[in-house]
Amino acid sequence: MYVKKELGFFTARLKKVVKKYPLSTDYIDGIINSLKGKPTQGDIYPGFGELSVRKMRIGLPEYKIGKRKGLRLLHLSIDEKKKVAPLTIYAKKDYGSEAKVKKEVIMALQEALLELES
Amino acid sequence: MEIVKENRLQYDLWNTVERLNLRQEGLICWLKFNFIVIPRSFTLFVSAATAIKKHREFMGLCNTMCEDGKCMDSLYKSVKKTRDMYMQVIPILEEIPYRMKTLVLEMYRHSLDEWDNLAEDCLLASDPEIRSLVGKIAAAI
Repeated sequence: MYVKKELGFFTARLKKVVKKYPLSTDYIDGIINSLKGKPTQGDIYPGFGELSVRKMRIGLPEYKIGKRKGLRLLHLSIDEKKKVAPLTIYAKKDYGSEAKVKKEVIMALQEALLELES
Repeated sequence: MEIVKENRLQYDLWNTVERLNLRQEGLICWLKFNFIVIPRSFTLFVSAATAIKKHREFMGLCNTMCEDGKCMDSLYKSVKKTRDMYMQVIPILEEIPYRMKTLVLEMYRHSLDEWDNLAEDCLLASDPEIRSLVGKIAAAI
């Protein structure tokens, strides 16, 4: 079992997403908590060495939104420390191109780092 | 449309589009659509799904060996090209006057979403800034 490290900035982003999809709050929380038991969920990003960065696609059955059009959850798991940290969550439709997604992810990671350093 | 024949999948896609000049009604167009475009689209749908699965498997294998994600950069260019071709095909398909186009369109839209998702993953994985930030976050956690 991994320990989940949820940062304040992620909670804020999660709240923002959940505000748009209030019926799916429990469902999204359940998926995020399931990372503790199974941190290998989602597609892996190569090039991170010993770290595992993965992207999960989350469908919202309450809104009849499939995985393709649903939410994206980026999470980091560190096998050595047995820790898992959700990095960011966003709705696919909010960002048109992958360049915008990249910008958003970089911003989220910078916020996370600032929070950890302070 | 810019003709790209980099790989089999892109060639098939281009070849299908070539056959899509079916905007006017008529028996020949109907036959071309039903007996060439639809079977080709099915084949393309299956080969696109296989290609994406293989790309994902490659990314999984690459993870244990790759340290800088440079391969992702070249993969991104190829994936983006294929994705852009799908984006060009869909508006052409929308103009076709036959009912069966709904099924064909759905297959193309599904493939487009999958390629788009893969392009996004390749771009994020190839970015050195993201890798450096993730490394710092992992050290701080």
